[in-house]
Amino acid sequence: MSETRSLLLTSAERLLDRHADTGTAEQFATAVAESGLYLTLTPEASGGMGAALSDAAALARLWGARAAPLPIVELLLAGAYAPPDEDLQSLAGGLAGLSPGPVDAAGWPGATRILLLRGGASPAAALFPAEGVEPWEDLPGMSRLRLAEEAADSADWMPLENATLPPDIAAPLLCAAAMTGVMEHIVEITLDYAQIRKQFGRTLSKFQAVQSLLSLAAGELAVTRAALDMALAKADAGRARAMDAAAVKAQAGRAAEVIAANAHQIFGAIGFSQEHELHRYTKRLWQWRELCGAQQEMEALIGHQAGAAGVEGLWNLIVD
Amino acid sequence: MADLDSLRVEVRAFVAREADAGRIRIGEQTWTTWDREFSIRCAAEGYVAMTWPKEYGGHGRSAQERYVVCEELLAAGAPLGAHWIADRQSGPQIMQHGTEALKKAVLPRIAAGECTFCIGMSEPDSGSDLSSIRASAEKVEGGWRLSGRKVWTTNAHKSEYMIALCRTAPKTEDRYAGMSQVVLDLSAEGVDIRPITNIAGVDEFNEVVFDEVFVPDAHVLGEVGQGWKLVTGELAFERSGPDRILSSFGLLRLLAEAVDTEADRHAAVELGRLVGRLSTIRALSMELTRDLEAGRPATAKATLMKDLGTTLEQEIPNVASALYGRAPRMDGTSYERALAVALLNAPSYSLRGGTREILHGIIAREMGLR
Repeated sequence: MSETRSLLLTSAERLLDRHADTGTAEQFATAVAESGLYLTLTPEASGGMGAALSDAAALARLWGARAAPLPIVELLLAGAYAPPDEDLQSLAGGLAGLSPGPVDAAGWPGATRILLLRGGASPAAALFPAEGVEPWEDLPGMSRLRLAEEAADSADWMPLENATLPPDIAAPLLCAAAMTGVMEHIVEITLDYAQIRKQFGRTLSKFQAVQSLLSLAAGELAVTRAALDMALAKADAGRARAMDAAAVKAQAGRAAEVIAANAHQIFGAIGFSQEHELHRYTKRLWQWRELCGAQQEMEALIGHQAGAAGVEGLWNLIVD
Repeated sequence: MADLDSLRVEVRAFVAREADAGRIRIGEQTWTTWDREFSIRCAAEGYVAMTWPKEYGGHGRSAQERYVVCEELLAAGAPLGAHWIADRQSGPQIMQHGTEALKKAVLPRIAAGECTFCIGMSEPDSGSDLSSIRASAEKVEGGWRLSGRKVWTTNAHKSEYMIALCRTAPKTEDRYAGMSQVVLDLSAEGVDIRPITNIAGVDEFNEVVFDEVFVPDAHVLGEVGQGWKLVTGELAFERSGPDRILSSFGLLRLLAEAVDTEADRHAAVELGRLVGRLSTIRALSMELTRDLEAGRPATAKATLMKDLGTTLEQEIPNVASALYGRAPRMDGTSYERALAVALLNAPSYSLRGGTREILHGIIAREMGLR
């Protein structure tokens, strides 16, 4: 592990241990603001850490594993792509163009401006005032903002010429990393529960049908981790394509489906109750699957390239 | 990295020459398709026994280099059956556990592409429950006399040798004790090989009967009685490679050509789902190759990888059918033939090398559940 990453993770762990389960989103936000973690991807010239994407992804993964409040992915994105003189702590961030329907963003509580990002051939950013923008919240402490679908069309886009990594690579990978953390936690608590809960005189873990559910969950998690690590290594080396990020995000979405379903199946009724922690994790998966690159958009993106590659080009498209 | 890239370019040039000569037909051959001449040409290029030491005919290359060659040959749909099993598992097994005489006699021939191996595990009454095998060998002067039968033995009728798992001591309370692995010369007296036609109409399967076949002491692998440990190790070679991801890849290539992803959103999404999935499982498979090379424990990952890879291999012909409504026809277009081959072979993917249910049991054990 790099020195940057281990410092980052130590600092994040300390913060999460102290604050994650207590206090309001605002109190938690104050702690995050003091920690400076949101500056992970901000260029050094703008007072940030200028860390590698894989370092930021490690942070997002840890955040996901604790189901911590505040949308870490969007905070990191806003920090990465905001114009140099921008007040980062008044920003929300979001990715345009890779999810159908209203444009979604999230950020600091009480954010006054929204930084929308887009990838493709000409990566760009656009700023919107947040007043009057419709908020929505179906996870405690996870308020999100919704802009009309047309907002992005009429925006005043500023080209992101100096960005080392386009947003349509960074955003899906960071989101997939956060989802990976969530799934790691779900698999861990589900394995524990299956080894404690007894029915018919033996633990659930002794039933073959339950073992299959857990095997499938472990398999999806292993693929997601391996693909995420490979894509992050490519991104750090400046070789990642939008397709690589799409494949990882789509895999995280597929894994989310299997892991959430199988965990709920094993936990039974207690996992369906508001008092149990499971829903705080599975809800994040169901939401994030469609954000920062919706599942279907990611698959369509790969499919278009695969179709264009055809019989002779398909293998190289996968290997490149 | 640059070395791996140039190796890839080199293999693609070889594959292109073979395809131009009509010896590779996309989606119509598999890695069990037996073609000795093809294997000999592969060996001449240095694509067999890549990681073995030079003294045994190998090329002293890295596991990652071998991975590149293997996946390029598989993605092209090359017929690899004449050397695949020997290169993947029998050779490495002999390298690790064989006597020096056996290594000298057999390994250079495998490396030259001139020697096919088959797998002697399953028996008529022993499928997933391998510890219940009945083939047994009795000690005689200078060796053993083997009797019994093996079944579902791919390419036995084209093979020079089989690595056979047999009992060398009667069964006791410890069901895993008293077994050994021997390298059996299939031309020996007392070996009878009968073909079994599979549902694709192909005669690759066989039943192999041994009637007091003499096996010299030098052909016993490892310690007598340690067969269970050995066979478990052999299965790790069998489960970890790109051949568990790419069996239906030829059909996927033809599907990418057949559907119009610009006009048909549903086709783009479905094709993208399969291609994305393949690339992510490949990432796991490559991680596994690095783990194995570094000597890190890999049983859990190899088992997961095979389960996920073979499930994808089975999904491809079904998605193809749903997207591009053509009936499977062995005498049809290139796509229709590939669809037929993929559909007819798919049931075997989650059986050979350990059934899905057995794999789930192994994964559960690795997770500490049993």
